[in-house]
Amino acid sequence: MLQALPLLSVAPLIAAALIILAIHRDRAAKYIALAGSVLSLIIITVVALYYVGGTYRVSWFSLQGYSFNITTSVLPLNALLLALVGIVTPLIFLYSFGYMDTKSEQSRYYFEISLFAAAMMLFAISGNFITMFIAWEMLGITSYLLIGFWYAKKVVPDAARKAISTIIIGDILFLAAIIVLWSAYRTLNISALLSIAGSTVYLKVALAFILVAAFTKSAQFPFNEWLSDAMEGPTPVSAFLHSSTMVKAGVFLVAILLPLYVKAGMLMPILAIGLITAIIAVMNALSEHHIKKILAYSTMEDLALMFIALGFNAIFAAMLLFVVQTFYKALLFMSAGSIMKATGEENIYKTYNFGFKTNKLLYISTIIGVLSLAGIFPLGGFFGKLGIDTSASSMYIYVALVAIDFLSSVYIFRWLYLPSRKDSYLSSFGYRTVPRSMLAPIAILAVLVLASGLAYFMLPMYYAAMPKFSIGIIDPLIETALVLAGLGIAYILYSRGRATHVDASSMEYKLLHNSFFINAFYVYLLKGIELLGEGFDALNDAINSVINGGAYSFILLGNALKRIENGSINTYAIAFAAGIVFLVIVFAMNLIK
Amino acid sequence: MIPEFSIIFAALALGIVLAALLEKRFSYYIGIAATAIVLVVVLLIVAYEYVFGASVMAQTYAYIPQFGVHVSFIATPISTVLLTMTAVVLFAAALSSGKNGTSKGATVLMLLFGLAAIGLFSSSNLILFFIFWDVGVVATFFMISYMGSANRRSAALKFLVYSLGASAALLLGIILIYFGTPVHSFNIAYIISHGSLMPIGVQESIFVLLFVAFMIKMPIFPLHSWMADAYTESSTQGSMLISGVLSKFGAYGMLLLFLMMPIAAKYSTYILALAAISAFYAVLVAINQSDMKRLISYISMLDMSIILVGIASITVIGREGSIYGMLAHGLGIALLFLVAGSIEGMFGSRSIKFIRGVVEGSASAAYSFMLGIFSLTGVPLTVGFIADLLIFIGAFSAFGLYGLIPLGAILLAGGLLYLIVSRSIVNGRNGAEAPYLPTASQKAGYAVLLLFIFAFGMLPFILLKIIGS
Amino acid sequence: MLAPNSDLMLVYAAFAVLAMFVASGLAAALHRRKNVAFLIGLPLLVIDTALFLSVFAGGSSTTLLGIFGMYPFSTLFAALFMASGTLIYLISYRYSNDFTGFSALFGFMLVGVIGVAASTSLVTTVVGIELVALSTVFMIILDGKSRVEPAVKLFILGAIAISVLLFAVAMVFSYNPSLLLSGFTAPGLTTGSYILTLAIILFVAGFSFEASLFPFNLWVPDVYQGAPTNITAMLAGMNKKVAFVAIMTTFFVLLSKYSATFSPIFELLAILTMFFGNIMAFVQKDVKRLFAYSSISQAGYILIGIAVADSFGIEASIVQIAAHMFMIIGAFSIVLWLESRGLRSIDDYSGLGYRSKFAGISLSIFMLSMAGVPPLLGFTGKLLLFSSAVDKGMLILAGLGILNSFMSIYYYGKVIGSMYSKKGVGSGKLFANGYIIAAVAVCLAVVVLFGLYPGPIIHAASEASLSLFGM
Repeated sequence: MLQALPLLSVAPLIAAALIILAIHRDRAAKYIALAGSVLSLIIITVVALYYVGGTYRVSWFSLQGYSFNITTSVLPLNALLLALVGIVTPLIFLYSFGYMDTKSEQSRYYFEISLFAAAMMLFAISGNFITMFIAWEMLGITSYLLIGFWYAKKVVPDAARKAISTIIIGDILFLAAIIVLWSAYRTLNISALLSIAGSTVYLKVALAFILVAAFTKSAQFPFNEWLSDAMEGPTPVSAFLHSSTMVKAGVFLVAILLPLYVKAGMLMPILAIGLITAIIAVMNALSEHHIKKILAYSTMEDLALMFIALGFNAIFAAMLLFVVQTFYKALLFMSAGSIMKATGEENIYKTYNFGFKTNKLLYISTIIGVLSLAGIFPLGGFFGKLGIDTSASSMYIYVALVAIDFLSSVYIFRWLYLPSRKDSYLSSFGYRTVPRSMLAPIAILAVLVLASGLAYFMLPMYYAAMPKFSIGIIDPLIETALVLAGLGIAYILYSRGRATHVDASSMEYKLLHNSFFINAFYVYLLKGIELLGEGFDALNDAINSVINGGAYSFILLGNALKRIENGSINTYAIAFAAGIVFLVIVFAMNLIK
Repeated sequence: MIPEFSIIFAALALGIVLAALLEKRFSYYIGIAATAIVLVVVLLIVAYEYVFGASVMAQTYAYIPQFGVHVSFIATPISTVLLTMTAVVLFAAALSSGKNGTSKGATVLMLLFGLAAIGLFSSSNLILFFIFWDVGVVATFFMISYMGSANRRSAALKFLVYSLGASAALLLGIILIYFGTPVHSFNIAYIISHGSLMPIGVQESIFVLLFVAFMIKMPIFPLHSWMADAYTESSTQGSMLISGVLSKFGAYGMLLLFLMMPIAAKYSTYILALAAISAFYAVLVAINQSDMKRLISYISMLDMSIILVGIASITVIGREGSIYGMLAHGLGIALLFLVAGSIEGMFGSRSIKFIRGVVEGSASAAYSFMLGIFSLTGVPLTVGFIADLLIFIGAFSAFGLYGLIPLGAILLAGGLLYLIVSRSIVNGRNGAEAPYLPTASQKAGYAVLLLFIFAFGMLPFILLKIIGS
Repeated sequence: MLAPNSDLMLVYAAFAVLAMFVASGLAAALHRRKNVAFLIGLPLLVIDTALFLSVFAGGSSTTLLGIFGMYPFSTLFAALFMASGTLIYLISYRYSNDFTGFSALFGFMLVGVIGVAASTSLVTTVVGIELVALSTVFMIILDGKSRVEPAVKLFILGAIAISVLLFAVAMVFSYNPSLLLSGFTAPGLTTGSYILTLAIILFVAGFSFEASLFPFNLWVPDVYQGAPTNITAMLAGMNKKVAFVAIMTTFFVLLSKYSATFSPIFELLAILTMFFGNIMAFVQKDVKRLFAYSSISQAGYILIGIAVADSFGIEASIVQIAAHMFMIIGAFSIVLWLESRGLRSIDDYSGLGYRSKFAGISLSIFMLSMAGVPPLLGFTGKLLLFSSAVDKGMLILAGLGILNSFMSIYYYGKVIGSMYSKKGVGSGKLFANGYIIAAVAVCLAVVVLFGLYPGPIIHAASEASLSLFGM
């Protein structure tokens, strides 16, 4: 029975239930949520330390003698994700204490985010596709609710709709993949599926479906548009979404099934999509003004890099970035949220005076996060990016990857410098104090980011199956040089205010910011579907009127027949006679036959 | 053993009589009491069949002895699920109508319809099936023409003409079956076990006739023209019952038809194609609808097409999926129509262009609508998931990847419904000024339907064990 | 089989009561005592119905005077006709302009009806039909000057039909001088007996006129609409059924050997009649006229069983005749009452369901039963009819019959929809009188109760049908 312990890590689910039952208790909601997350962290610690490798299954329903189970399994990879979620969740909740300081809507917020956390934890421990699909859909729906949390704001409903419409593509394809896999192999257990031999057409189809599903969740090309719009959600949600949950689900799914992709020879599309997405993300990040959206594009890039690593079958590199990205991205989002909270401004061009004077702790932590993202030794990002670069199989890709590293260094320093400029009107730009409950998780995360470089050494101990890449000399030098160059260029361009913000109508903005016209493509696609709908509506009316017309023809016939009913006795007598003649003819014909 | 069916029919008949005789102010409570008894008894049947794995059966008296037709009822695995769905939707409809919204006529018709539905799903022979079919049609006709909205007269007439067109084909088919079986019989179980002994030609004509009949009732493209009008012009409770329960007359019949006529296997590919066309057609027509109820009608048609996919797969799993799909569709679509009714009450209009910010006025209506969407798009832990999973496993094993094509229609429907949510349900604040918010009884209706949507979604093993036995 | 004495006594009693009714009617007509006529006549009719029913229940067969056969077929129809006669008598009391005259003629008419039902000879049949037709003509005229036109139409066309029938009888005479229905051994048609063929044709034509089969039925709507509605109810509920009884006795006793010859003819006529009635009913605005056409289509359905030409088919026809008898008398009773309130067209009927629940519900039930909706008696009849056709392999006939019964729902639905539209609600409530309510209640009870439990009526019909074929 103790094997069921991993299931208990979804403790936030209990918190969510408590919150919705204790509705209208807005004040209590946050404590319940935090308690739930701390409880789950404790359980997760125990699970990650003592239960690795364990599985537990309970039958959900059975069909034709085949049992569909709720299965948990704590493979090393599961434990890794579970630990990340477990660590980040309480921090996010704590951060929410300060950020979500509105009087009302507290219970709705903590209900939704607790459910979201529980979904991710369930996803992390799921040992078969049924369990995973439950978590997957819960993630999609709760993220939809969270992105649309402030639905009263004008753009929010549409942003949430964009997210769910993309996600639902993945959901349906995931379902299709489950159906194909079950029909082909009569099992949905992941470890059982990993051990299947040979690659059949159905396996390839299922893997393709899963891959697209993963791309929708992880916002890879061409499903990348929802992620930046999702920034309309509350910042703690963004921090959560972009660090350890939701978008990581897609990467995790592909990572856990990587042996199958290798077997089916399907690494190439993973790599290609990753590269395209990374380029799009970097270009967008360079031209974006919204303080959170830049980070969102950065996430997209990070995820793309992980996919690239997976595309090289370099699971260790992918997982390393997976781990370190969690911390620095959570940190950066929290910083961004704090800046927004303190200034009320979301545009980095309109934000000034961010520095030691405003808030020392916040500023230092933010710099740590930025340096980690850029890839400065010995922070985690350095190892993460290095791993990706060194796993490149060809020179061209290597060049592309280091170029992406360089550009990401440029945009992240741009992100830091622009709010740090001095206000020309002598510090009229003020900062309100940031609540402690927001600073505490930032500080904790800063420490974690500082320590995250250790992951490079710890991960192989934990998971022996991952071959560690060697650091070498040349690669780190190239990387460090490029990061520093990025830092310098960004300093020259942005810190002095030499580069004003990019005009939305300018050529370079269009080039950088429209993600290869993918957005326009969707606009036209929707228009097309709408037109199709109009066409079908017209067709429907036509069918309707054809059927009506068919019925109406009887009425016309009736009106025509009405003429013989003219009331004249002569007509009736003639009809009588005609009837007799008619009968005679019929008889005669019968007799002749 | 308890005489389950006698209690159900007695409760409904007594309810009808009492509602007709007593004053209007009692109607609401009579409706609730009668349907609550039905629900309790049906749940007892479910419990009994889950525990003992045997069908509940009741036989009373000879109806047309010359044809060997007896009035006998049986809760087979299939009908148990449909009885459950019917009882829940009936109860929710009775509950949600509210004290002020209930009239004597409405209660009588609702209970009469319930009687017909329960009779149809549990009838053990085809004559009873046909009789309850027509009683259901007539009750529905009066429900539309007595309680509907502005254009109800033409909608009701259209409904009646289509439905009795279906009845006509059905009647001829049933008579052909009777004379086609080796020992002339209307008994469903007998026909299922001996259907293959009929000559091929007879089977073919029976199949065509009954297929058309059930196609109209489900409805399936291109015989669906009555549907949108009937669903839209009915009262809220009428829409719930027609879309939730009446459409199952066709689906249940279709299921029986595929069981009775082995010849069906010959056409299954064509039927899959028809179902897929119907599914995509429904969702594409839905895109351009501005009337909330009309839009939901086409979504309902999409779901019925998906159920047909499961039936057409002629696999055990696909069939079980389609049974579960009927349950899912009944509960989900009733919920959506109930919410649509509340929304119409709030805004005095069904136009999507006019409805804004429902969530500001009534969070429960808005969230119930979303949860209804989840069920219809097959989100796990709702009934819809089990249905979709099983249906498409069946379809995949019968047709390969082609069987999965209709999933695309579900995808489009999901996108469309979320679009409606973003445009009408959560967008803007107009709802805050709505003069008539959903009443407590309507909210109770949401709660009942949602309870069962999630109960059967989270605990699918109960009904699946019964279906599988 | 020789009848036991008790049964024979019942038969005599039944005829005696009928004679008393005729006498009381005549007396009433002479003394112009409307109330007395009704108070004496109605119980007599009820008693007579009961007597004929008990004779039928006895199940024995006997022959009276050589021309009246009392066997299950005839006693069942005698009972049915007496029952419907009772209902007609009931509703006529309030609404007939000259009730005493009506009573007298009604007595003669009933004698004719019973004569046709119990006929064992062509003479009885033709005389009975003549008696029925003539009484009807005078009943129409008695109602007032405005009724002359339909009466004349009925009289002239009826005269043609009767002469055609007599002509046919004359042709049979050469082969069968006794003119008795049973025991007729005629030559096969293929051997050149064209006279007999022509006789069959003329019989079909003559009876088709009375049974309102297309194309011999163009008079029906005019006369139905022009006649006083209580007479219309009688025309649809009794006269037409009498013709069907005559068809059954003539064709299945006298000409039973030629069923292969006349069956296709009846099949064709059934199809034509159903379509004609239904299509014409589509475009009617007057409710009375609509029911006229609807009863034409019903005649088409009844003919299906005759076209099937076996005992199962006749059994089905009998059930359908009984069903339609009560449905149409019930419906016309309401139409009669509403007509007196000035409601005639479908538009006038809008909101009727709210103005009078009684009229709304009962008229709906009658129309649904006519459309063949279960569990009403009309459904039972149609189920049996279509089943008999399928059983005989006449799939096209069954299919077209079902198609027609489906088409009919359009115009019934139109009336019902109109009754439940909100348009005329404001015009005030309507309350029916006791006579109408009593007649409608009886019809409703028959239609609903025997619809729910049709066993007895099917059993009775099958017994009657078998006895017809046993003649």
